[in-house]
Amino acid sequence: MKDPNNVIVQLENISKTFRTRTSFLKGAPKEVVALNRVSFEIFKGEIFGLVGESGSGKTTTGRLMVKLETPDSGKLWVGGNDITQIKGRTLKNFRRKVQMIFQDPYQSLNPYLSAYDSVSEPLIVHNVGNSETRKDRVRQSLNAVGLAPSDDFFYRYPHQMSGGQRQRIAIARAMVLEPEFVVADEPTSMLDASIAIHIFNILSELRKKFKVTFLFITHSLAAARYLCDRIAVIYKGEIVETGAAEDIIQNPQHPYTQALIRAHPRFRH
Amino acid sequence: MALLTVENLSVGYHTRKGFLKSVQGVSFSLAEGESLGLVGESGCGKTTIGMSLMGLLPENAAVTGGRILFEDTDLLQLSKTEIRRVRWKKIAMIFQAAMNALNPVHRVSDQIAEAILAHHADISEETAMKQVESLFQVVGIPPDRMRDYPHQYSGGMKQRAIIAMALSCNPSLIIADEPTTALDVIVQDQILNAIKDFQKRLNVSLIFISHDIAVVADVCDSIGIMFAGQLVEYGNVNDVFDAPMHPYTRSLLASYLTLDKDIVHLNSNPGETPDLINPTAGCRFSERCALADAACSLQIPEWVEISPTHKTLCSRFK
Repeated sequence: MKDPNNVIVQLENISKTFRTRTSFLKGAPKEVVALNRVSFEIFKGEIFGLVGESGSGKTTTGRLMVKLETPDSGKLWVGGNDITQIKGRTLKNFRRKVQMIFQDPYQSLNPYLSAYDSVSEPLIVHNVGNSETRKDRVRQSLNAVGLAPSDDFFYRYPHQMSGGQRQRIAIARAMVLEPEFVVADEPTSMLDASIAIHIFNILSELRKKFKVTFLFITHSLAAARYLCDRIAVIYKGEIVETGAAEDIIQNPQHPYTQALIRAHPRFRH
Repeated sequence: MALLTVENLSVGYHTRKGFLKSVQGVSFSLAEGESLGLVGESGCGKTTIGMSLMGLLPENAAVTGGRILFEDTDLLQLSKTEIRRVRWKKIAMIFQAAMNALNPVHRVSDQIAEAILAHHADISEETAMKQVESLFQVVGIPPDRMRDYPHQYSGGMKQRAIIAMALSCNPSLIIADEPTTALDVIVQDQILNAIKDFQKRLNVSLIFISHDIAVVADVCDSIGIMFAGQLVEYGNVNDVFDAPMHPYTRSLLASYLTLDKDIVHLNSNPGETPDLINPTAGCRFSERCALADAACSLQIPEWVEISPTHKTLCSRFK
């Protein structure tokens, strides 16, 4: 792998095909190529944007990186280790260092768990600290996402919070183990514009404060431009363009990127 | 003469926690062939207004005041049978994620012909099919795809078929509620062009409901900005975007992420959506507003006219 000091994630020729289930009526199973020889790397401490439309394979890419999916072929390194085939204890250790924030905070949080229980759960699963130190870490994590005073949120349940607050709980839960790498999969597509900006600013702050690296998955080039250092554009399972965020917006090379920019809504004046 | 005049419309919902005042004293009017955009965040009451116009409010909703004058008839006074004669025939609606509204086991052309036949007893099946053909031309579906089933269509084509269905009874007003929200940007662009095209060509009036101000700026002649059930700024699209006056409109525009302007770091702590069960008597934006003083949350805000085609529900913006 390339320069292990600077690169935290590297994908090399990753392919993934999904097969539809066979049934008597539908005949032979169909194959859907989700990813076709995808390669790129993410540098330590950056926010890397993966931009594409629905069905382009962007979520599959994110899920592969946190080992929620396994690639059919290709190699995947995270933090200098080949994680393509890991299992058991190595996998559990790996899960401590990478986390994921999902699209829909209405679905990703357990409605029966209070904010405190949701955020402290990863600490318990990974056996970190005792009940006292855990409380401190939950406090820190809630403060870091702007839910202050944190103790006021301890006993709130998802239905007692707004969408923005719920997503911040989900972020606090992802951050509480102080991971090295976090995949944020369309974290704001269910939220209003002003709240989305607030979430972006929180992610930016977290990156500075905890030196964490983010993969930000989005369908919006404008959101990627606002938040990310570098962007990869994915189309039909293939990376069509990678580069510094502003370069891609100002000087897109691939026809698909150019079409995306043309179609982006803009004010007439 | 205005085709539609909404006067002081107030609508609420009975909920377990109390009566939720979803729309509060909203007034606007729409001329024949005009397009109006209603913009606001989720829960601001824009869909409730659309549903009131269609007479499709759910059971737990109640209109607490105002009038909806359509061709000089107050739609709120009509019986269920009477409103059924207006709905779809004169006022049609394109719903959010409407592509799921097509029946999977019938051919798309048959479904739209059925809609025409249901409202016009005197039309033969052949004439109806001819009309479907010309509708598909208007919305841009190739004639050889007419007899396909919905699953053979892409998301964008399904949305085009839904637009064709809304146009099928030749309505004078179309309400489009977030018609492109579920679509990818490139498809969204195509659908918006199709909407602009039929709107001009058929000279039909349009109410376009969206959370995306740039989309509304692209499609509409005039715009109403809504916050927490109140209309807070209203006027000609160019006037409002050239000189936004209400602090909420300004914050909406400031938090819009673009590709053409320079990138600026946006400070935002938007605050929470106000309580609509016990709303403040005054301006509902006052809790979040940087310009607000104590009086703002107590006094009922008044409209300030900036120009004959632009007004705002705030007097502190200067």
